Amino acid sequence: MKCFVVSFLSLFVSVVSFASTLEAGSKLEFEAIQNGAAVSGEFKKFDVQALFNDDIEKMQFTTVVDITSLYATYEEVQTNLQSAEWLDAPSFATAKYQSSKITQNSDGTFSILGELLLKGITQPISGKFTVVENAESRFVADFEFNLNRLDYNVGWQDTNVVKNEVKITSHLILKK
Amino acid sequence: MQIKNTEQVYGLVSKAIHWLMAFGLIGLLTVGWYMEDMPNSPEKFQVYGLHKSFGALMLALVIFRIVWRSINKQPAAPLGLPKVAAFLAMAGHGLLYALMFAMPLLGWAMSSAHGFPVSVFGLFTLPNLVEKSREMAETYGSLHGLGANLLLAVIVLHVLAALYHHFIRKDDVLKRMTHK
Repeated sequence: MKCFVVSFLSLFVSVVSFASTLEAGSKLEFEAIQNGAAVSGEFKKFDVQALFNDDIEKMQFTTVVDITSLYATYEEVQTNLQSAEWLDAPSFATAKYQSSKITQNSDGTFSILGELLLKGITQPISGKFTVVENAESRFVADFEFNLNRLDYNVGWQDTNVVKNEVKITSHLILKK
Repeated sequence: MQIKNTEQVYGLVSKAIHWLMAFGLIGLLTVGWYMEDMPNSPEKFQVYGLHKSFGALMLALVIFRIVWRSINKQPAAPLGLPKVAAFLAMAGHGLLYALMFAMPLLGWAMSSAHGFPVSVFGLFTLPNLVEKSREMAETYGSLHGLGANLLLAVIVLHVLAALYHHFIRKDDVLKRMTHK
């Protein structure tokens, strides 16, 4: 019986480890251009589920972002970015990303296609990432996506002051 | 008109910088107080962007001005000026220079600490003076605001002093910065 419980647990554990746990040190950041200069912020709370495969092209990533965890050094900007005109955190507290297709490029980087649900709007989004697997079998990946904020009805129509293009970067440390 | 200063009068360059900065500083002070209370909008960001750009321009001008002043004669104080007035003039001008130099630096530091780098008229972006920090941004912001009040006070005294020279002492101190 004990043996059965242990083997059952190990099965359970192996399933859990199949989807990853996000490790400390992971980051999800954004960078926009206002008045010609880059400004950045980050989401303090987000979760990533990765479906691991030795063939990285067969991997899948699902990310859930807590929009209310948005942090910017300039507190007024943090408040404004969460307001209805921008991300509308009170109405749309979470954003969700789901990858659909990963292909390796000739330079060793990966291209990733997927969909992003943000402010109630789902749009396809493409990006790229690099991966290293370190000794402690941590899967360390750096993602970069470019999104057009107006595709998601985020912020002012005027794109002179704050550009439409927003760069999303994510440094993920995942435990296999 | 002389390019450089003489013992009697300010040269063209000194006059030009004086008046450019006079209008620049009064404009920046006015816009600075106005823009704080603007509702969040593209216009507010534009105004902030212009305030920073003109502030950077003032910093460049004041650095040039200090260099120019150091390689130029300063017109002598008018004859018979009471010692206390001469001292007040020196202290007032010292404070003006200190504020003209410190104000853009504090604004620049505040922007850097806020994580909002200063783009100068969209032509280039200034490097960040300090690391991002919410607490330090507030400190620099308070000092920038305090400096603005002090600068306004010193400008008012400066104008009153010029009028005192012109209308009460009836000397040429005001004229030598205008048309003499």
